[in-house]
Amino acid sequence: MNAPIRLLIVDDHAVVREGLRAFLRLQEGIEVVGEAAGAGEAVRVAAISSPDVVLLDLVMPDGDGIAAIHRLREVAPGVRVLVLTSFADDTQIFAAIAAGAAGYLLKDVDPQALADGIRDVHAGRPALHSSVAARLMRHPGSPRPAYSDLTPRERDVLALVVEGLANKQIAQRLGIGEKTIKTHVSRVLAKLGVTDRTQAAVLAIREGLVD
Amino acid sequence: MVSARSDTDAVAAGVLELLALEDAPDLNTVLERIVRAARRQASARYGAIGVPDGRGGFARFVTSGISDRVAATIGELPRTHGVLGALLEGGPILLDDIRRHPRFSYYPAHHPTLTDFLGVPIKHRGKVLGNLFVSGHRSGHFTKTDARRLETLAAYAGVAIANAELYAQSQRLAVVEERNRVARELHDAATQTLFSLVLAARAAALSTRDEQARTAILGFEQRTTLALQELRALVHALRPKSLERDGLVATLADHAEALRSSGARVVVEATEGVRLPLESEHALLRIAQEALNNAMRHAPGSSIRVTLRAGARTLTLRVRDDGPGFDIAALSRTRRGIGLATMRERAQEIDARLDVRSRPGAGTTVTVSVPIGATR
Repeated sequence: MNAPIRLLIVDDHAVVREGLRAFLRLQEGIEVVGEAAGAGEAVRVAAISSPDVVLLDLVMPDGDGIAAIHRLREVAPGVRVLVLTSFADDTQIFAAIAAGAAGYLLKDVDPQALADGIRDVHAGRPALHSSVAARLMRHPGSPRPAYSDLTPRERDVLALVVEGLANKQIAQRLGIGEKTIKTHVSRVLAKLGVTDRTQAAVLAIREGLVD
Repeated sequence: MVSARSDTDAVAAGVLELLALEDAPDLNTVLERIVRAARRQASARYGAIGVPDGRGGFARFVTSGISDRVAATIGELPRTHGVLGALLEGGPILLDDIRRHPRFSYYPAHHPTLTDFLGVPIKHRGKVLGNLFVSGHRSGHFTKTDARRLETLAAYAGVAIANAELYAQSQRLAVVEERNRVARELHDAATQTLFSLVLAARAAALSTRDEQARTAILGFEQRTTLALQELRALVHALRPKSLERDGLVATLADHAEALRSSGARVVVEATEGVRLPLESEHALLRIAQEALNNAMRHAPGSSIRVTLRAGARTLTLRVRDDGPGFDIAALSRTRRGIGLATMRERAQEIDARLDVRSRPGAGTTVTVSVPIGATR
């Protein structure tokens, strides 16, 4: 039996925190270890409760949610930040991902999909709301990364990363060793100039690198 | 005459006050001041300013020399089809007996019987906004000198009326924005509660062993989800559009909507789904806004059509009005000429071609073509 995922809930709406608590306490393997009503409080609570995952609303009266992502990652190294917010702004999504958010969900997400998202980011898989992914795809601009530098195998791996598969699953799907997949993934990240799988997935979707 | 000059100075000061839009005095106060100055300068017993409402009546009718009590007993305001209407169509009218004018109809009961009459149209940027007239000269006759003085005052009145309209327009825009902001915040608070209800309902459904209760709760959750989605769509629609987030077409449509809410006749027709690099969209938006501003400033009341069409290789933005048009060659140094130069610069920055066509009497069309292929 794995240890439960330690979750910190950050939202300035008390009613939302209450709903999240009511639903998530029924979820196997998720334990709510703290709550905060603002960015500053979130950082303080994270420092003492050492959560695995922070569920973070980006829009809070006491400050910038993007800055909060940076600070949460400072005070709780290894923490995965899953954004759960009202709207999908292109700028906000990119800023959140660039700041190291592991996922981006909107406040109309199905409760089960929310619980799955928490488990996904904890397992190192990106969690993106479908409309967030759609926004990423529509976004024009920024020069294409060197996709042509990717080998056909690396492209296959990237496509499966976008699907949200973990290394083990990718290995099974492609019929090769997990260790080899790990090497492929780090090469893909290096070639795309990103630091984690979520960023790679976002970039792949945005630039149309995968179908 | 010293007193005439200081009258005009006082009026000019009042108009300048009105130009400092932040603290605009009431337009009626300024118009009253102008009418009083007109009476003094033309040695007239009565004076008035009428601003037509476009439907045969007057939106404003400011009088001087008639007591409120008398004005109340007269009751009805004049219409714009008589002598006052003639003023709206042409130049100054100087009469020794207004009752002999072919368009004079009648005086209402209690109206003082006026014989001599001097009226001038109030114009601003070539458009007649109203009229200023006086009656009852001390000697029974107005002179051409009186007419010239009145024309000067009418010019001030024109500036005052035009600026009051601009101010009212900007106020209306600000009100629309503020109303949207408040609505957005109220609705957003409600979406948070609905989201919380969805979570709580799911929790309740998961907790119960009663099959009937579960079905009922899930039905409740589903309807709450629908309400949440509707409300979210509404909040989204109330957000001010941004180029970066919503793209050129949506931002242009939003801008046109704001202009319409302040009385402009603007339609936008656009090919959906065309996205250019942000820099190009930004330049196109600014050009469109400048062209729209020009159309509204120089062709007020005209109908304006904005089209955005994607061809195989180029995207074409066109802003066309059916206003009075102008002579392009004659305007290099004017404010409008500078506006055109700015649009040209913006077009050049994104390798687009800008073409402005206009002739007096034939409307104005601004066309920008930007290559699509080069950017993607």
